[in-house]
Amino acid sequence: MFATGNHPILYVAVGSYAVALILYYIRIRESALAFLSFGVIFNILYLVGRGWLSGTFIPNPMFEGPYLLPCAMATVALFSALLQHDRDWGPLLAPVLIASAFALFYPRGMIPPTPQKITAWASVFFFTEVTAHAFFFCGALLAAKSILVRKDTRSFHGYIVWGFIIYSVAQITGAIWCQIGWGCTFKWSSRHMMSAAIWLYYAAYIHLRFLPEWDGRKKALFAAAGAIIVFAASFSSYLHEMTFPRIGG
Amino acid sequence: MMRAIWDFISSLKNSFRLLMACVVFFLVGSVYAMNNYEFIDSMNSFTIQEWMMSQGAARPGITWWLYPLILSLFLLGVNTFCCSLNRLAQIWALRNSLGRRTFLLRISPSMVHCFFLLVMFGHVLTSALGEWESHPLAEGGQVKLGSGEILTVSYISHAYYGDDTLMNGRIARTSVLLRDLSGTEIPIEYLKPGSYGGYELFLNMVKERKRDFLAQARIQEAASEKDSCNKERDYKTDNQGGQRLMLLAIKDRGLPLITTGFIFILGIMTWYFIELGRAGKEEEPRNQQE
Repeated sequence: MFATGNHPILYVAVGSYAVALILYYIRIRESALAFLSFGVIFNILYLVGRGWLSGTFIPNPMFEGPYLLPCAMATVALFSALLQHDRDWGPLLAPVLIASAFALFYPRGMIPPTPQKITAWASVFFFTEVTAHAFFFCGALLAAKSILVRKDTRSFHGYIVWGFIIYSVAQITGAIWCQIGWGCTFKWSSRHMMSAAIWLYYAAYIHLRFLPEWDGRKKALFAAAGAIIVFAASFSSYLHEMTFPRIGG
Repeated sequence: MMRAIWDFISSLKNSFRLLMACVVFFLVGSVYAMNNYEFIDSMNSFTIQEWMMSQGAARPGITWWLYPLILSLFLLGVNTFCCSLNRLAQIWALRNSLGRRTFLLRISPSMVHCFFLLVMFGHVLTSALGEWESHPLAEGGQVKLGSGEILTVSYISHAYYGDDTLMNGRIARTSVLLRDLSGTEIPIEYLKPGSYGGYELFLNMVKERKRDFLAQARIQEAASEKDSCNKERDYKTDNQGGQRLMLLAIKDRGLPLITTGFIFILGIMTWYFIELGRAGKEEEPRNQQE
């Protein structure tokens, strides 16, 4: 059951996220936090189950973006709430639900990995890349919120900085994987160039603090706009991969 | 006058502008690469100057973004160098008045910039001086590398996933043993490259296709019009076209610099954020430059 029919676990996770969002906005915050925790636990269980999709353990499907992204964003929201980094963590549940809904309609099987893709470096790369995307999305949402409510909270800054650090780790681990698999650290390909663009965009963001003319509102706009690039890069890739042959699920 | 030029070159405003220029041209390039997979992918088998003269110049409508991208990256490198030099000079002048830990904390971001430059320079060496060869492998056959050395293929062994899994019929592992004329053995597997005569040796599997896209004879790897980044079918025995195991022989002159840069960037960043966390600070010490 865990290996082949584990998709209901994802439904439970998504249901928990939805309940958490409702409870948060009717101000039953502690219960909302409990449901968010359930959601994360079930989402992780689902991801672990994906490792056995083919009948033998292969870690790659556990880190497939459309399935890992909602879990990563929910985990960011959970830690944000637990560590009280952001007391207003409810809005972070909205992108979690949107990403979860996308996962529900995404092809369930796994793309059979080639031998070059079965390495811990690949797993670490995908894990850190998607986690960084989660931080960027959460940061962008809070940045957009700070613009809309005209309140310069700057709470988004920490998310973007952590996203950038994790994304840098992803770029390095990805380069190591590419080197041992194909003999190069960078390829002229759509995927690699898009990654370079995202990394440079957030490197530019990090430097904004040294430019006095960039006030909080402009920085928030820049951080929010970053999500458009990350969204275009990641979801164009996810949509493209929907056409790939899959097994299991 | 000189001071004004220096300030302009090392300006953080220009860093930002150049970073954004690189973002734009990388994004444009990625769109072209998505729509012209094979053509852009062929860049990975040539030095950049070779490719731009032979292939790139023939299709300027697809490659125009590459020229401003390279210019932007070059200017970003110059700007980063000048900026880092400025910052290092400032911090070095304060080394006696700052405590050792504060000094190291302040100098860390500049050190990361220096190693970033090293990585960039490594990529320049790779792109401009690298050598990429691709040779078909057959048991008992021979491979003649570009440097003249001859390697004999002693054996090729494929291990497949079991019939009790959905991965059945797909290659799980391939072991190849190469021997040079003196009898030295070079074992290679996927993800376990070998080294010989300055080359790094890798395995790659391709489907045999009807026609060769690349004109150069030294690139014997073929690609079809509908080739894409998904290669999973190349590793499956399903009688839909033969597979050809290829040996990639690569001389990457920039790799030592890139690897060194990565190790130091990771090390410095890890130390830096641990130390910042210990100090309970949210952000790095404020840059006094601007």
